Amino acid sequence: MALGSVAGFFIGLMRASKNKFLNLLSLCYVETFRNSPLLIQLFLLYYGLPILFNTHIPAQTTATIAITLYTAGYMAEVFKSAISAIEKGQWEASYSLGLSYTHSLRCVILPQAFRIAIPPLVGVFVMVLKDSSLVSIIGFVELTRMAAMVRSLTFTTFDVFGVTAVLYFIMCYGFSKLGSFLEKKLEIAKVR
Amino acid sequence: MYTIQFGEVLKYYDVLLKGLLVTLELTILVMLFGTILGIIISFGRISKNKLIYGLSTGYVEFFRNVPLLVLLYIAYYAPPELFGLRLRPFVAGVIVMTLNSAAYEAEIIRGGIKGIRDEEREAALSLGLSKFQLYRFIIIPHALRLIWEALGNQLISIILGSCVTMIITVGEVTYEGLIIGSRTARHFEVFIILLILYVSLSVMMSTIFRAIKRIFMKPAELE
Repeated sequence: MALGSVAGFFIGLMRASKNKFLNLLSLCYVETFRNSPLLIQLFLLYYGLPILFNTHIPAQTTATIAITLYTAGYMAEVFKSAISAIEKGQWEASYSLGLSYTHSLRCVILPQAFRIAIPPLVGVFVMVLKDSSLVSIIGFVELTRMAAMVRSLTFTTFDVFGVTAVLYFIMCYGFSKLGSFLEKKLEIAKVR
Repeated sequence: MYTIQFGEVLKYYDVLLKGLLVTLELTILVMLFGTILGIIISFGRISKNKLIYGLSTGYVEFFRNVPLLVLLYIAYYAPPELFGLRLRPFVAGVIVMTLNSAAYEAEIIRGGIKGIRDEEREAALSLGLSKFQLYRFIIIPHALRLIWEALGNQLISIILGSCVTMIITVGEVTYEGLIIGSRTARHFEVFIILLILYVSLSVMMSTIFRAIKRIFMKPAELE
């Protein structure tokens, strides 16, 4: 997920840029990964590609790559909206001070955009956390997979998956609460 | 050397079509029931009654923070062990996705209702409209305009989410695709086709929603 955020950040920059080529390229990327199910992306990478190149990629690697690409798609949109949300006055001010596009982006726009981006960032994080349970289907051993394995040993589905549900709930809800706490601390709503 | 052959897979287009129908069926049912349930729960969320508020908030938070996959496993594998009740996969899928979707819908609808300023409400009531008329002519149209895009996104969410139900053997398009893949060993082509399918569906839905917004939901013009 961390990799995905970083990648998404750069793709988001591409989306916000005036360069038509970069914009279109990143648009295709983003739309593909946001409008298709993670499961399909996983299957494509895990079953499809190895057949194409006659190799075998371990589940762990595939899962990491798939989640990175998936996260990056959403992160790109978040960063792009955050950058666009900064009023034009900031750009004009930095240009009139003689800063170049890159320079103004880096020193003026991005710090402000980052604060605005935090709430949706938290939302995407929680979403990916939940969707990560899907990687259990390709055999990557994480929480859901463990639960399935325990269940096949004990046959108490409700208890096992009930506990799993509670664990996911605690993780996601906790993280959302952390996000709102951060929001309050940084007073994001008051940034105007 | 592996050669990419789409023809092999496209031979089975009728199987894919069958799966696509199941997917669409699932999506429509979930959207329908989910919205209805979502409306009920959104009323709970804006209620002043502490108990109703607590229950509906608990519901929403639960279904927004627990993954669909885990819920599907519980819904499909637990009842046989607990009460000896075996649900058909499709039914289990619809139930779980409806419950899940209703939580998100409740939040969307609540946002729409809250987004209407109190002045409008007061103005309508002072004009002598009854509560029912208030809802029918002021609140519902206004809220609908506010939440239209979010509803569209939710529909797309459901379409993408239906993909996961294949794990409990719901015969939707991904499931059929896997079967075709196993039979022809052409997983790559199958999943590329599925990818294109889902992306097209989503983009189509977004376009339809935007078009409806443009045609039917123009803001009232001031004289």
